[in-house]
Amino acid sequence: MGGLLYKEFVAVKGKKLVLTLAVCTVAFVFLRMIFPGDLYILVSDHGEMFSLIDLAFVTGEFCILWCGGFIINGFGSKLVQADEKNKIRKYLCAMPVSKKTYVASKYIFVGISLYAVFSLYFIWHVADMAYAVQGRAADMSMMIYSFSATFLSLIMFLETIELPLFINLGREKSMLIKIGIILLIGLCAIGYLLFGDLDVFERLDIEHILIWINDHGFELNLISILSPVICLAFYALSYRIAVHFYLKKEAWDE
Amino acid sequence: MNKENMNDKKRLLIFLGLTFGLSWMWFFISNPEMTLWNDLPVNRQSFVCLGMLFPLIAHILTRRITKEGFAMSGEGSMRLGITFSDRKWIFFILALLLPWAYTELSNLIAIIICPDLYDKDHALMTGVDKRLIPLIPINAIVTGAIGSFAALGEEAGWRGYMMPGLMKLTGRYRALLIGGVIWGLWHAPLTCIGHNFGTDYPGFPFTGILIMCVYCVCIGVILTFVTERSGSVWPAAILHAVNNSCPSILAVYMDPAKSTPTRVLIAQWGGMLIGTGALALAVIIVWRKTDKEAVNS
Repeated sequence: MGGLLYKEFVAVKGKKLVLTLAVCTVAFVFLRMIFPGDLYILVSDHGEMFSLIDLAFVTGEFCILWCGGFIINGFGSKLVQADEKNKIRKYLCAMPVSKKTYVASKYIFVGISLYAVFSLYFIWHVADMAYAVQGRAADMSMMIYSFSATFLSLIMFLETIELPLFINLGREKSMLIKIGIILLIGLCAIGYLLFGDLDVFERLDIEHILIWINDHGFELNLISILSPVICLAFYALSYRIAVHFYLKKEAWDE
Repeated sequence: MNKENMNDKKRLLIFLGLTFGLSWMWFFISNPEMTLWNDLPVNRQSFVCLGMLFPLIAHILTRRITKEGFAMSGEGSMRLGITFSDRKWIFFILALLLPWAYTELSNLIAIIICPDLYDKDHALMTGVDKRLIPLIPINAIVTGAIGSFAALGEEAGWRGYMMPGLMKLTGRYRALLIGGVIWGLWHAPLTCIGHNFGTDYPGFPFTGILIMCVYCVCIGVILTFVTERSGSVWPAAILHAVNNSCPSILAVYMDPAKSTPTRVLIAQWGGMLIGTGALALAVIIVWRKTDKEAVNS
């Protein structure tokens, strides 16, 4: 398993990625300590404080979460592409590695990557908030933080769907299906905008939604606590399904 | 053999020097005014706690200096590999649930020592949603497991490098004692600003450092046990993280303002040390028993 994981690490250019992220993290923490939020503050007519430096750092914090999530989302395709290019499955045929272990290595690698991105994001968030002043930028940072676990759960959920496809159908077919689904959703959205009832958007009452959020604190808390657990359960189920179909394949190589 | 021992000692000293040096430097850089813990804003407290990552950094640096290699699993490895075979998954489940069990036990003992602490209306007074109370342990377990990287930073150093080295040099039980004391002393800068027990107790901060050392010995026994048995530092990291998330329902019904500070302190310290101490003792008994069984078979 260790060897397979290392293979995945090489396939995604892990060493370069890890070094870049480590340098960026150290630089971010160091710069945050040098440039605290109270260095340059704008005060609005209503007395509301707004730190431009905080805003810059919040953007960085947002980038690491957003980019990290989407880089991992691309791992499924990258890993399978590398295997296809290097004919890894044929090679593994001669090695004492079971098909189950091969599939597991992909799932474990993506899982570890998600954990690493969340951990890294958390370091950035903590460093950012430690030197932020009270105000909109700090509120934004806290808002991003409160949705971070749910966002990464969503990425995990996407992987739950994508990984079995990539492993069993190969990169090309899976990408076609993926693009097809995205196009279908896009077309549906355009269709709705052209022929649907657009008054819905006019009737949309933000205040009403905020009141609903306030009244349903327990339910929202429950979702935020349980969403990682539910996603993990789906992830495990997806692994079982991927293994089931993969074992049915007669030969290692497609 | 002696030369090998010397080498082990040297490696351990390099690791300890780096860990203490880097971590304490971080504690002073991140809180240069030595502001008391309760006076620090919550966000700055989390920043200071990033110092938990330095035992891992020291571990990596030590391996680089001593050219020990970076194997993930097996003898003399970093113990970062994960395996669920031979029922090792049990230790992951234990890591998630044990902190909840001993935290509730510790709080129960604290209430027995000082019954005034218990206030069934305290949760309502603090404005906690009553429906959320049963979810507290689950929340602590989930957030602990997800955010376990900081605890991993500590465990990868203490359980991943220091304990195997100490065990090799002094044997298991001495290593548990010495390792716990070293770990407790490592917390000293934080204890001195009131992180663990506040500042309002007799003999501050020396009593706090002493209590922390005893506590670290007890918790260290449990953490070392799960690491040794699973062959990985991950269960210990998860256990440590869940422990730091304080997964206790009883805590919501405890109001320290209901009693005198001294009584509260005795109850809390007593509960903490008796609860974790009892569990550590149970772990040692299980450890010895399974060792004997292994020798007999």
